[in-house]
Amino acid sequence: MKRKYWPLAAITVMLLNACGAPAAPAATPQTITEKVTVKETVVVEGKVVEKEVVKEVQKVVTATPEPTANPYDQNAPIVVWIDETRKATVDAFKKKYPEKAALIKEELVDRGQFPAKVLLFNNTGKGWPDVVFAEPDIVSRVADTSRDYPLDLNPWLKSKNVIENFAPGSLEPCTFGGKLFCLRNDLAQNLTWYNKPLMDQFGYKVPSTWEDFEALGEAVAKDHPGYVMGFADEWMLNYVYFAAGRCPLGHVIEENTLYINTADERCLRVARMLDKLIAAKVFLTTGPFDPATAKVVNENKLLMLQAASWFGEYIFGGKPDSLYYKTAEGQLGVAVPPKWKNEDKAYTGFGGGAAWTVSKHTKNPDLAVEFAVFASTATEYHGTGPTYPAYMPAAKEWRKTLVGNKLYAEDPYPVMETTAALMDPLIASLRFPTVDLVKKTVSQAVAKGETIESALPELQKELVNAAEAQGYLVKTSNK
Amino acid sequence: MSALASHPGVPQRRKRRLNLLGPHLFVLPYAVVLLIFGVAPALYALAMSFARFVGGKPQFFQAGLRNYTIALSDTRFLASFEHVGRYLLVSMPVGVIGVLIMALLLNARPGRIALFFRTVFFVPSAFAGPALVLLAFFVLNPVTSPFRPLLLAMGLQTSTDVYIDDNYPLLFTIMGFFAGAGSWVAIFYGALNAISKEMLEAAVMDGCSSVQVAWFIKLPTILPYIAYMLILVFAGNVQLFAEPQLANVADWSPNQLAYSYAFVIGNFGASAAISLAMMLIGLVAATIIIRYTGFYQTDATAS
Repeated sequence: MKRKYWPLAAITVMLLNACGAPAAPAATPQTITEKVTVKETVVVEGKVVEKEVVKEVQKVVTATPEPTANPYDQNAPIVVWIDETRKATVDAFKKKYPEKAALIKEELVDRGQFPAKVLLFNNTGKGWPDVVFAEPDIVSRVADTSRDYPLDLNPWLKSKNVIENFAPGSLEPCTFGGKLFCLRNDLAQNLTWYNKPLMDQFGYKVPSTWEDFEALGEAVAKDHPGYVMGFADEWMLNYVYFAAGRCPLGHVIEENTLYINTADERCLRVARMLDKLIAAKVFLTTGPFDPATAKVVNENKLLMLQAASWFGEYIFGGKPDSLYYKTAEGQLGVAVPPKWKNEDKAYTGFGGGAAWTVSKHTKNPDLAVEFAVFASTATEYHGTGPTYPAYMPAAKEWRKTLVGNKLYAEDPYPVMETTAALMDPLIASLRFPTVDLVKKTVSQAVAKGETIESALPELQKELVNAAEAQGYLVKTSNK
Repeated sequence: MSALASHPGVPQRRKRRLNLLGPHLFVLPYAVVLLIFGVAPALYALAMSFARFVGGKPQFFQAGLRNYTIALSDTRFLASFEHVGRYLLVSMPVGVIGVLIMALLLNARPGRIALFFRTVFFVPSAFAGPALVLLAFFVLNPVTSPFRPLLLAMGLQTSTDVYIDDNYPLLFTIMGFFAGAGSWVAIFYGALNAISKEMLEAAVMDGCSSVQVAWFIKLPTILPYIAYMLILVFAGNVQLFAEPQLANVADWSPNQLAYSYAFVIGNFGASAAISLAMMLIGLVAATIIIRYTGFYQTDATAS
């Protein structure tokens, strides 16, 4: 082996490794502090007013400057990032405001890439979309210090009534330190879905508390083995059961400070209940979309399911090509989810439910905000839209889409409306996905036949690590 | 080239220079591309690993060793290297030995059938890796798999039974093997075909069985190719990304963790630190392999 070839080998490996290295940003910014008298643009209820103020500003020079004079242009076009389904929203807006149609440029994107793209836009100082359709979790990630993307919508809203008409608590996941960073498009409140003919046949009552739920599970295991009352995969554990239990997987106690404690009684009660029901085989450990799960449901062995409001139309379906129910014969009942006996009421989590967020870099905030408000509230669109609207007047209109659907045992709307107000304000949008960590720890334990309770300490470790890596301060006791 | 070099009119000194100029010209395009896409990004990553990030923008040499301490103190860091270490223990032997056996079998009975299977083996390599990974999910799910009876016989009832972290190294090996094996079989097949017929005939006449021919003649002759495969497969496997990412196993491999740091958290510095750690491992491994296999030995350099 000749030594002189070593550098070549080294470079070969460098090349191979470089392929896997992430793309790099390129800019040289500076942070400066200066005292300046500026004409500041203040926005009050949608009107732009100018006034002179002395300000000490600390800023990164390459970043887009604070609005010192009116930097806005009412005729600037806006770029809207949507998915295929939300194309209808854009069309509805253009139809209602034909004079503004030319200013709206929609782009179909994978919104999972949104947070990464914002970093690149920040580096190049241009390219940000003006309005984006994304889940509050994603909005939370683009609101962190390195991205600093969303515009506080509060001062831009022309009327405060808009906010009041959103379902109570539904804007909580969009609110960060008093700033309103998004408007919810739809809600995915969790409901109790049940198979009415089976429940009647077995003579069971829909449980109103989790304690009754557990007792019912044990009764089903004994008297009707093979029937199923839920799924204990990471998705359901995270978004349904831990949420309903109010388990602090990451409760925001103040801005940027989280309370994480899986040893909390509110986590243990969920873990113990589910461990019992998994052992009794009343719970499947596969997820709602797993072929193995669908098979059980297709065999009509699903007695009851805690799941999001969109499961009715999308998963149970009642059409020949639906995942769960291939026919619509009034078999699907719906009820308000159970409450824990010692809580004042039922609290639900939510599995999904996206929102509209606006860029603070937009040249035309008037139009961008107008569009976001339209997209999240317009009955023209939501009245026939696919999911339960977060905006209450639109939800009332949306009810009509349920009429005449033979899938439901009774009109599910009143239950949906009641439950929309039960979403737990403790559930905030976090900058890291707790569901992945539940999968890594709890789901792994369950797959190996261990208990959920035994995996909670490991989950605690993972949650704290992920939160700290994201720059959160973590408290592990609520004292 | 050789015609020019051996031209009787060319003086001895000039001939020497031309002799060197030729190879360097050939290497030049590669060297340029390597500098732009290999060396430069690696150096940039090195600079970034010492940079602090404000508003997603780097401030070079402001962070000291902070990015390294962030990455090293993350509990996922060592875990991810342990994961990939376990994966390498399975994937390297399976990959190299599997490919060699396939190539030797094809080469033992050359002809139309060998040609057909060489093409069959190669087909999966023509598709994008992630598409194969998605296909593997169906094949490995006991409910949808065409090998359902086999999986059930192994006690695997649902996908939950399959995707247990102890199984990940094997699962990712299976997914990766079919994506890459075909092209390596083609390379080895070519290398085996290049072995001189006289040597093989001599071996057979000396009484070698076909297994002995494979073991004593063919394998040692293609050793540099095996070393080359080891280096590339090692570097590729250390960078495991698509398989765990598509299996929705978060931050399982160092590359995933680097990706998370860059694009989820927005800390390119810690991400660069992790990338460099992967490069360091690749460098050390390549050095060892090259040193002990005589990778660059040619007839000219052999002493």
